[in-house]
Amino acid sequence: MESRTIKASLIILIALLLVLPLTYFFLQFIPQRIDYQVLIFLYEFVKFVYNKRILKVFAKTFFLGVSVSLFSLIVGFIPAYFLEFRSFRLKNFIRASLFIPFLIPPYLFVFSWLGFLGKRGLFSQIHFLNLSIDIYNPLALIFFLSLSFFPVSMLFISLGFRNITKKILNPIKIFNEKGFWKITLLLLKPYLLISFFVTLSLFFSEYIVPSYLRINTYQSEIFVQLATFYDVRKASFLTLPLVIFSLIVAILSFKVCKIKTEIPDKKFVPPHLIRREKVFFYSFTVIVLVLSLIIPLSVFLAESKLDVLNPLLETKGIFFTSVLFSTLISFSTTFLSNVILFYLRSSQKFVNFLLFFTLLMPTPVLGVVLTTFFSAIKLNGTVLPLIDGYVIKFLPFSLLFMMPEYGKVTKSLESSIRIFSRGSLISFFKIVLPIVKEGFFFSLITIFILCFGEASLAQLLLPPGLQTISLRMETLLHYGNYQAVASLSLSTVFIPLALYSLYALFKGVKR
Amino acid sequence: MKKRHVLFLSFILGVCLAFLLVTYHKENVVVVYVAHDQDYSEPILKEFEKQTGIKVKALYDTEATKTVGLVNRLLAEKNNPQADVFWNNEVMRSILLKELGILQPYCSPNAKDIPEFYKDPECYWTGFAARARVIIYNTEKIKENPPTSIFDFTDPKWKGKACIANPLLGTTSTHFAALFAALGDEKAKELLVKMKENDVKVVESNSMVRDQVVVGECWFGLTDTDDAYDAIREEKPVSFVFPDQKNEQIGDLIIPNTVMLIKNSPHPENGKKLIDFLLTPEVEEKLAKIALQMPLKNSTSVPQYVPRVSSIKRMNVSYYQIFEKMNVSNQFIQENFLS
Repeated sequence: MESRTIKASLIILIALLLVLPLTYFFLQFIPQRIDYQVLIFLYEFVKFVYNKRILKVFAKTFFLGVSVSLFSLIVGFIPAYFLEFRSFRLKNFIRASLFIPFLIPPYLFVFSWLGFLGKRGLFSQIHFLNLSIDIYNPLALIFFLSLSFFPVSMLFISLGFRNITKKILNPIKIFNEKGFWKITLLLLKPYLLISFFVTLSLFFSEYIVPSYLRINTYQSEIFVQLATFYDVRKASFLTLPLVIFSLIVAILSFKVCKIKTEIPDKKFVPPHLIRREKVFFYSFTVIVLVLSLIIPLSVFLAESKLDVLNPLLETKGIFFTSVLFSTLISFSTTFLSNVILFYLRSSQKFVNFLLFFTLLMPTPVLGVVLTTFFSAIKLNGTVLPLIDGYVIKFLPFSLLFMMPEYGKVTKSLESSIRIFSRGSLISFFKIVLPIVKEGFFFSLITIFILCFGEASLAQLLLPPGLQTISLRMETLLHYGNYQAVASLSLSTVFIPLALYSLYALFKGVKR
Repeated sequence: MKKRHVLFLSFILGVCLAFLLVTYHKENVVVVYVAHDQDYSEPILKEFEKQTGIKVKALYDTEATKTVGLVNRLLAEKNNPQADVFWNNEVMRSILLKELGILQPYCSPNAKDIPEFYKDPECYWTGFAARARVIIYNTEKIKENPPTSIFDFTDPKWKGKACIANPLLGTTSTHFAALFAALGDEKAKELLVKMKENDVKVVESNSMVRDQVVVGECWFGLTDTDDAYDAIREEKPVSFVFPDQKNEQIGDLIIPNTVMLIKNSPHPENGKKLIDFLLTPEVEEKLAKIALQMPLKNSTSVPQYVPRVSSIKRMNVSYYQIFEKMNVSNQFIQENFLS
């Protein structure tokens, strides 16, 4: 297929998927004529958004978001460094174990910690110092969400380390430790910044966890406008600062990803851990694993009373729907982001500007936008609004993951492809995708997990008669059916894990 | 990437798409949006399917999204409604939908013996099987003289011991609007300020209030009968009282389920059949047994442990009076109580 045809099709697709619904929706609020109504509109907007209380909540939320992102980055950076630069036993096992906490949706992660530290919890039974631990505070929020999000940072930084291996080999030899870090961090910059943006976006998508911990955040303010006042206009007003911030992220990510990355050097053999490193790395890993995995899983095991199979069988239809739906979304979103990055590279800044519009947009607002639009074109009640919603929601994430990877597709490589290949699409599949395949799989897995645990968009866009496992788990949580919730949580952790193990086994046998 | 990989990926995508694009276009269906708890409503809808042969396509709300999902969806779908019937678990959002022109009046023949207080005079919505607000308390923490009034939440002897659900959401928001209607704005505001001074904890939902009381993190709290009953059925150390039942006190808030027909719905005749079914004494009886929902019809026979609505002293304000106070109450709560 001709490159020009693909580009045109992509632009039409983006317009249909994203630009049209958002424009249609926001045009409803903006005055149609330029007269005094514009002034009234602006006055209303400024008066509502820029009041002291809302600004205070916004500042607090922003501070919490930045803290969560920074802590996730730090916790993720340390294992990523050792996993890529040192040799030790059970490396892949440790890597996989450190990723598992991300398979637990954040609200279930907090639920498990409440089960551990709360009055009915294990900790209250075993501690003998009569310590009173109050977890209903902002510090707890930072702690829980950092532990929940760090695996994304870890794997993404790992990916970054792989792509700079070749470049830093010589500086390691030439410079001292200080010089090594200076060069490494510089080359790793796109991955670090994008990891920061992704966790910040994940934080802004979360409104259930802060309300569990009794913390009023900006997301809750928007939610209340929809749930209490049913005022979509005011919810949209409040969304505007987040949209502006998303656009800033779009520009920044474009700038940082201009840095070229390298095709991984497979010949690099990392040295073994020295004693000092061994003590530090293993202690760190054990602490992180206990906090982010062992405690939640133990609580789930205890709550489930080891009956995992029955709740899973009872919800097998819902589970199957969720798996299929998440697979569809993760494949289509990742594929679309790759095609966009390859074919619309020349106008990437503009494309990012369009697609990042929804990065921090709260899901209930996005849900209302899409229901209104699809209702106007009489397509609500089908699966299309939900597919569109998830693609819009997760496409910026996939783009963020893939952007540094496309640093490997240099201009000279592109020229060679153009000269020698038979067709544009074939060269994309045969040459480009193999180069960025690690980022591709990372995006695939992460989007699958995010989609699997998502509930609020599904609530607004799912066709009647269908249900997802995340919605079912939230419902069960409400009934206080902790046994079923814990069993299903274990299933959501172990089923992808079993699939991954099978894949690893297959890969190992092949090798 | 090899050709077979591309083919494999295309195959997976194809299977997923084919599965998900299968939308049932059966003629004999009814689409119902259900705000009532799924575990209680699903068996009733299954029974309707069995009796009538009409396929029910239900969409349930979750506790986390409250009625934000369904009500916003009904509002956004105004131009092309998908739902035929909305089974709401309270009244305020039903009145809101009526005011915004989402509903179609339907006077069900089965609603005749439901007291006028619990239905819309123009048949836009009809109430059935009610819950009530209750004070749930931990029997291990409070062995005698449990709190019996909403004003006990301001008593210094209970400082830091009580909890309520987020008063901006769900039935707690209705309860506070009702207090504004029953006490007058100034007294209600004073009550809220005093509750805040008395360190009343605000938790996420009514079910969370129940859980906090069960484990003793809160000694008592404000929740709904069905949530309290869930804990009692599981033999947790809790009990409950209907608040403000003495002569000089303001009484309790009764919250019926409400059912309504959606304007321009795709299957209105089937929608009416479902409404008629939900308003039968058998449904009230079932809801009474499984969720301690109190029947509004005198003809409904219920077990002894289920109280009759008539035995509870209710607040002397109509649902429309409460609805008028929703905005002022929510505004005050947002700016003064939760800030």
